[in-house]
Amino acid sequence: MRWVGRPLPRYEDPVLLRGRGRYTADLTQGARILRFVRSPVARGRILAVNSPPEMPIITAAVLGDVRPICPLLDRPDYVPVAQPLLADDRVTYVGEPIAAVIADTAAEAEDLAEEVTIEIAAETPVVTLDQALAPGAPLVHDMAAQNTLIDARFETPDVAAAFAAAQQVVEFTFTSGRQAAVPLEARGAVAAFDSATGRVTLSASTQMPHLLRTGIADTLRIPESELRIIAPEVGGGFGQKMALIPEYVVAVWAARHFACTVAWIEDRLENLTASFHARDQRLHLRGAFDADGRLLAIDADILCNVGAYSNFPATCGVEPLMALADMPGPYRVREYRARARAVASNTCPMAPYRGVSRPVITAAMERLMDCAAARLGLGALEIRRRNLITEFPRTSVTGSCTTPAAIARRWRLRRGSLTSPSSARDSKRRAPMGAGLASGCRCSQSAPAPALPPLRRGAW
Amino acid sequence: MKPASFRYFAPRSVDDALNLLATHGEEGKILAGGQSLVPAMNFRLARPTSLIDINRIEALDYVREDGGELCIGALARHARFEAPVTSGALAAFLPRVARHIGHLPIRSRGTFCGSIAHADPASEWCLVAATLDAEFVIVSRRGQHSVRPNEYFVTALTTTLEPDELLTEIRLPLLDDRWRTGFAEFSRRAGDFALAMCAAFLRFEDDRVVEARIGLGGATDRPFRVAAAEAVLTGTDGGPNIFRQAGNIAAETIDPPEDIHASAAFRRDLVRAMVGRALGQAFTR
Repeated sequence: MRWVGRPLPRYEDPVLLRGRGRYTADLTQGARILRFVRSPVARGRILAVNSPPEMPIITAAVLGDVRPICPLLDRPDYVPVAQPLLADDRVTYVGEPIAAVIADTAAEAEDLAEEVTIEIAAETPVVTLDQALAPGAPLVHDMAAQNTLIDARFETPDVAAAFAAAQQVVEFTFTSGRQAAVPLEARGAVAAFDSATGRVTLSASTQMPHLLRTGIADTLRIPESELRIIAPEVGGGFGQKMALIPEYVVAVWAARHFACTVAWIEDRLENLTASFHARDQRLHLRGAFDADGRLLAIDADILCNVGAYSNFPATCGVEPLMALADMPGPYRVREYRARARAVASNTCPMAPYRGVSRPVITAAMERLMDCAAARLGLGALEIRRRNLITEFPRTSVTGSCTTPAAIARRWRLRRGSLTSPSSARDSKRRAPMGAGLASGCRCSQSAPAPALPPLRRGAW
Repeated sequence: MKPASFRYFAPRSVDDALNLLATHGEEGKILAGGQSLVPAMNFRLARPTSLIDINRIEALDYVREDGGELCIGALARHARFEAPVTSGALAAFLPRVARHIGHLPIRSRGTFCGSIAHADPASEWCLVAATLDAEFVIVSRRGQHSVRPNEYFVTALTTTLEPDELLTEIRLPLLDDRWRTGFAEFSRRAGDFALAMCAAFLRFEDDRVVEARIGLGGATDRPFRVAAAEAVLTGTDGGPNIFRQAGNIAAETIDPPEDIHASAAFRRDLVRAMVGRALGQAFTR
């Protein structure tokens, strides 16, 4: 009996295809609407939060004895930083929640939020990697020198010798622009208080209901049994809904505090301004090749702008540490040196986003191959043929194991079937035609890697 | 993204609308297609205290020819222009332009006159109206008058329309088959705001250009004609050199803004390319 490739009717399809799915925003009937007042500036000191005296408002002071979101990572070079549920004395990125108001409708909640005025002594923010790493740069967090939250290093013994022996050294800087996941359904939470049991049922657009419960219970100092999480239909997550956010915690707090059902349905403007971002990276890559085009060594300096905080549970290490561990990809890399830093800045915090660092490091490694091929006069296919892993299983320098299944399909391209765009210009069409070639490797199963014992890789 | 509260009126005649405008015009707004106004209200960037919805005024829903002009009523939606609405050179030209306006839901709801009233620098219809020197029919309780584009567009999102006035009709001159047309637009994503666009209208006699109208939009605060580029085209029979020359003149004429979407130099270069492409179309058809 063959199961691979067999079409299986999906349990959820009849509901989704008929438009009868229940998303979080469909569950707000009877709920009071929560609205956040957010920081208009990237960095500054909060002087005052003013609101009309009769208006109930939730601030850090009102929340009282709750814990900040402070994810840990078992690495000596990791600097834990604490993210308050509502900004207390300082704001660290545009969109950071400072206060919250509650009303019967979304429009009224927006009206109330406008009544709240925030006085902030704005300071010059650090936004880019260069600004954050400049000598004497203002610190996003006092405990993180040079704004560095992670500084991971890896080196095999003979990197220097490999570069000395190289026929060609290819060197370049590769920059990846900051990206946002932009799910069609923005984030949202409906926290329903049960007056009989005192428990809260939180329906939330989330990719991690169990860890969400753990995170919220820990932050509010309540037993996990006080909280039930339901993940209804989720209209796209892509990693953005795989981290604990203050808004969900405040929704649960408010449901308990006011003993009612409280809903926060994020609008698109909030999602674009204040949600998690990703892949703001700069890689400096050096590759040593011998005369035959064989890759002898890589030297990588990996910089990730991870924004203002470290997300739970993946932490701000998810991008730099994955880039460090998986850089060699599908190629035989004999010697490898890397430094990977997570750099804090006054921008939205970073969270995992589909593939995390893989698109960035794959594009960088493929550029390395193409540059080397051009220097050595080899074709795009040939240089990859000479460097791709062919013996299985193979354990990479960083401890990743590549099995035969990983490269299951044989190369079907004939030598010479790849042509450069200029040579393939079709005389009848104005657009240049061409073919490209890239190879990548996706880590399908994570396990502690023996070569890097402290490098804890997540389950994605 | 919910609007601040407002009063809502839905008049059924132009007279009722004008009365409401006279009363509420200062802090009110006309709602036609709402494809710019409603998002701005949801962002709370616009906060009209009164909304005067003209969608029930059936008398404003028309596109018709009258005395050598194409008359476009205030409720004619963009989508109406995706198919030919007239004969002559505009028959193919207007659908070609309409394709560039936003996306299908926007075109189904948004109106030609609404675009003119809003006066976004990236509006295709504003460019067409300015290039063809259209007539804008404006009414209020004080009476009716017409203005031309050069006395109407002030700067981005700003016109000489008074708070108590309603733009009821746009009159485009009909173009016979001696006219040939071209339209080119650049935006980073299909349906997005134009970074640069060009509309070209050329009247030929014996294969030579005897009249040229070259309009630019998107790259500056309002659409305008480039007289110097029109001058070099007049009397010629086309060719890549003349296209390039006209493009260079247009690029040098403008003083484009620099923002997150494009640098001034890039906009200038886009204008050069768009003029060349629009002229290429006009000469080949």
